[in-house]
Parts: sequence; C-alpha cells; structure tokens
Amino acid sequence: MSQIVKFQCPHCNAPVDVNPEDAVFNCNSCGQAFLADGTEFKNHYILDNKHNQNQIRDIVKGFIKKKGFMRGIKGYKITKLEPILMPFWVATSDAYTHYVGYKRYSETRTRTVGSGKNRRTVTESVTVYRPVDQEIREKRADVLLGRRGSSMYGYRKVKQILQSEFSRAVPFNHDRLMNTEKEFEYLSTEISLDAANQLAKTAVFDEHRSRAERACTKVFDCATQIAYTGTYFVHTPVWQIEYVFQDETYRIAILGSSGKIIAGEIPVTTRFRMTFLGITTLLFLGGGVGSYFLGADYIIPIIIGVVVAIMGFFTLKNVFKTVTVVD
Amino acid sequence: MKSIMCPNCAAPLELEDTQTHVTCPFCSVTSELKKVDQLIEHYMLPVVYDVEQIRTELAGDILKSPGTPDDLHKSLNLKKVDLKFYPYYIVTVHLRTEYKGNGEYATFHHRYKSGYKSIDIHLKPEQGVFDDEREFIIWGPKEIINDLINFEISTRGKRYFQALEAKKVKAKVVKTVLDVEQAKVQAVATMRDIHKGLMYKELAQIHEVKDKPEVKGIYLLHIPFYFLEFEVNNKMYKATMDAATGRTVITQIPREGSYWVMIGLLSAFFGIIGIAGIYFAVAASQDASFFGLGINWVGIFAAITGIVFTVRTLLLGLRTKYRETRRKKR
Repeated sequence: MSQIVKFQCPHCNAPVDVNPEDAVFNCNSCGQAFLADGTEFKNHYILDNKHNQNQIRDIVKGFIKKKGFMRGIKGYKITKLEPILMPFWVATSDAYTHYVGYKRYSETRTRTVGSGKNRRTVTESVTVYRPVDQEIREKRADVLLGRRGSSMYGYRKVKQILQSEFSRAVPFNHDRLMNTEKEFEYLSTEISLDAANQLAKTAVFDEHRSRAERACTKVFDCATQIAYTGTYFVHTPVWQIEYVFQDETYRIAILGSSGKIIAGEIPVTTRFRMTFLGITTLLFLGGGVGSYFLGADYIIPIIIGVVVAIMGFFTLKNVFKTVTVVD
Repeated sequence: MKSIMCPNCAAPLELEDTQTHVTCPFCSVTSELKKVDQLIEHYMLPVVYDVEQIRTELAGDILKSPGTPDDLHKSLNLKKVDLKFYPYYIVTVHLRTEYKGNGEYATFHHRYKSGYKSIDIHLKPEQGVFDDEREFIIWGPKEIINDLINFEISTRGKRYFQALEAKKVKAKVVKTVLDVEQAKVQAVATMRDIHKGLMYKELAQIHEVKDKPEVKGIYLLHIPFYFLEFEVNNKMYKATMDAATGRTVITQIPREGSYWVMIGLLSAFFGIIGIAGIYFAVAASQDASFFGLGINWVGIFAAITGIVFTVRTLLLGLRTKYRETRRKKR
C-alpha cells in the first residue's frame, strides 16, 4: 500500500508546492527558511533590496542612454521587471596551499671574449631554472549558486560581486521582508550545506592549482588544505529586466542592493554598424596614407599594417555582431 | 498508470509508474508517493512559450543579425512545429582517490643569478589523496544532438514530471537509453578521468590507485524543445528553441539578397586592395624606382591589412547560424 504525504510549511502550516530535495526551502506564504528535516536554518542572510520599481526604471534608462550612445536607441519599452531573490551559498574559509616546482626561462647575456685583436662581444641565450617553493595562504569567500545546472541571466557576475558584497548581508528577517520585498520571487536552494562546502572546496582546489601552474613551468607537488570558518546562505535581490526595441527583446540584470548593473544587452543598430564600417574604412585608408608618407624602411608599413589589422579585427566584429553585452 | 486521490482536496490524480511525486492541478499541493518500485527524482520543465510566443522570440533573435528581412515578424512562416521533451541526468559525484607512485623532484646545479643553469629530474616515491565533488550533466537519449548537448540548460522552475502535462501540449517525450545506474557509471567515469589527469600532474609513474566513488545526488530532467522549420521569402530554414526559457538553441539565419551583395563588395574591396598591395610590394622590391612613387610602402601595408580584413569580413559575414548561449567547456 502506498502512503501519501502532503508538504506543509512548518512555520505557518500553509500547503506548499516544493521539491522535497530542496536543501533549504522557503515557504511561499511566509518566506521562512527551513532545512529539509523541518528545522529552522540559522545562517540565512539577505542583501537588502534598496530600490523600488521606479528607481530601477531610472537605472535602466540611464544605462541605455549612456551605453547606447551614438546608436539612436529611441522608443524602447520595458516589458518585464522581475525581482528575484537568488539563492547563493557563501563558504568562508582559510585556505592554504603549498606547491613545489620550477620555473624555466631564458635570459640573454652579453660578454666579452678573447683579447687583443680577437676581443669581441658575444650575445648568447641562457636557459635558467629557478626552483619554486611557495605558499598560498588566504581568507576566502567562495560563492556558489544554490541551484544545479542553472543559468539565470547574469548569475556568473553576481557570484563575483557577492565575494565582496556579502559582508553587507543582514540576517534574514521575515517581517521586514514582507514590507519591502514582498514582490520578490524566492528561489530556494537545491544544494545542501554539506554539498556547498564540498563544491567550494573543489573550486579552491582548482583555483590554487591553476595559480601554481601559472607560477611554474612544472609543478611537482601541490597540496591544499581548507578550514571552513562559516557557510552562509545569502539571498541576493536581482532585478531581471527585459526591454523591447524595434520588436526585439534585450535583457538587463541589476543588483537590488546597490543598483549596480550586473549585465546588460544593448541593441546593435544599423547606425552603429555603419559607424564601425566607416571607422574600418577610414583606418584602412589612413594607414595607407600614413605608410606612404612615413615609409622610410620596411618596418614602418609592417608595423602600421599590423596595428590597423588588429584594430580592424575589432571594428569589423562590431559591424557584424548581434548584440552588445555589457558586464 | 496509477490513480490516487489528492490528500488536500480529494481531486483524482493520475501517475506514471515511475512517478514518485504528483502536484494537484486544482490546489497545487505536492504529494509524495512512498514505496514505489523505482525511486528516482524525475523532473520536467514546463512549456512556458506557446507556438506563437516562440515564433516571436525566434524572429526577434534572428533580427539581431545584420541583413535580415525587416518584416520578419510578419514574413516568418512556420511550416513545421515539433515539440519534444529531451532527458538530461544531473549527477553530483564525490570521489576520493588515494594514489601511490613515483613523483618527480629536481636538483639544481650551476648557480646563475636568481636561478640555476642546469636541472636534474629524479623520481621519488610519493602518495596523496584527491577528495572532491563535482556536478555533471549527462545526455540521456540515444540520438546525439550536439546543439542540445552543448546547450547551457536551465533547471529553474522545474517540477515533478507529469505525463499528463506533456500530453496536454501534445509533446513527445524522448526516452533515455541510459538508466539511472548507467548515468551514474558515466558520471563516475568522467570524475575518474579528472582525477587521473590530476594524478598525472603529481606523479610520473602511478603504482597504486584506490578510489571510492559516491553519487551524492542524481535526478532526471526532461526539457522541452521546439524543432521548427520555417519559410522566409520562399526559402526553408531550421531552428531549435528552448520552450521553457524561450532561448534560441540554434537557428539558421535568413538574409536578404542585398546583404550578400554588400558582403561581396566589401570583401572584394579589401581583397583587391590586398592583392594589389602584394603585387606592388613585390614589383617594387625588384625595381626600387617603380612608378617613382614609393608605392612599395603602401603596398606592404595594403597587403597585410587587406588580407586580414578580407578574411575577417568573410568569416563574420558568411555566418549562417546563430546560437544564443553555449555551455562553457571544462
């Protein structure tokens, strides 16, 4: 015989539509966080949202005006203004890595050999091996999105911002939340505290090793130790905005606590493409004229050619790209 | 099929045999069915975008490319619409690997400035442990669709798999060829490969490896995709769209004739100047008084820049496909 269980919020008893694998879940009606076994979760923090809809609209306006300079973006319309509380784990730790290896590099040296008539200067290249035995010791705050396999617009950037911003987080307070952020959509985490620490460890491990590999030609040994100093669950207010310009949709993500643009898309207009096509042609012609007048040696037109080719590489990219991404 | 009664509002509910959870369509309370034979978390993303909405998203994305017909929102004519749910396993693996072998170390000779001029590499016995956890997304179906495998999937808004919901939108549910155990094996194998790579960084010779894999979590997620065939100006194109988020997985881009003419003219302009540049540079190097214009300097410049610009214009301009997002390769 099968047994049927319905899910209820332990705080306000409201029936909820949850995924029971959620490691920390938030009740849709009261917002309180619980661990899967029903106990309240203590290290639950939140970054206060400090902006309302109108202020966010103003930020969007300013952003498009500033970044859309010279593109003739007029008559766009904001079609979606959705505040989301994104779930992040912040694992603070003391990490220590000891690595041993060597760095190989070459140096040129000049020395004088011979004597009398045979005295001359020789330039030669010397390969030098420098032993490396170093330590990395740091306090870290590793940020993880509390969702598996997720892609929310701008979340990668939020991870970086949170590393410094999370010190401003305050303990999660349900009552205050109801006043200022009731319009926010909560997202709970699917990753448990334990798994968050494990995944953070992997991140530290990978990063320290890649730093060791950058410092050495060959790493012989690299060992990392981590001591956790506290893992916090931080709800971060992010406004997801969509606006329509000439029937096409573009996205912007804004951090609600600071009003900072996390990431944004700006339309590429025909005027923008033509401007860059013009710049490309001018560079091309200008380089030709420059080579004609400055050419005195083979090296000068080659340098001008390479410089113009590199610049044109980017201006041509702007001619053909679909959208400008700012982050 | 099983039939149960919603414990909250007593509405009748139907479940597939593998389903462990059911959300009541009337009161949206989720119930868990305990003691089913095959316990696996099986989710789906709902179809958020209907055909008309997905057509708008597709046209909007195509229009972001240059040279596309301005009236695409009207002229894009959907000829064939297929909605299919594709399965992905999301697996979290913990692996602890203990290894023994010979690692390298070096002795240095002949001091030179801050380093040494020679190095001798020796081997010495070394042992260690890797202990970490990673997450893998594993493609379930038999059919290999690289665009879907490399697509950066989103799991946001997932809910328990309901066969009824797929039926309601007339979607086909693609079955996985991998069962749960095989998906686990595949994830563990990928994890072992990562540890093997790490071991070879630490050791030159591996003598003994002991590892203990543990699958910390696994779930199956069905994601709905639209497979579209559409007509613009009497030509057929194909596109794949994510029906849950409205993102474009991949689409062919219809362009106007004038666009190809422009690309042709632009690359011809750069190309001809480039080739002329090569000619002048070579001709002038053989005869320094060539035209008496010092044109060889301009020739060298034009040869370099013209060729680079032509190649760049062709590579960028002749793109026929557009992808909105791709998963980053590890």
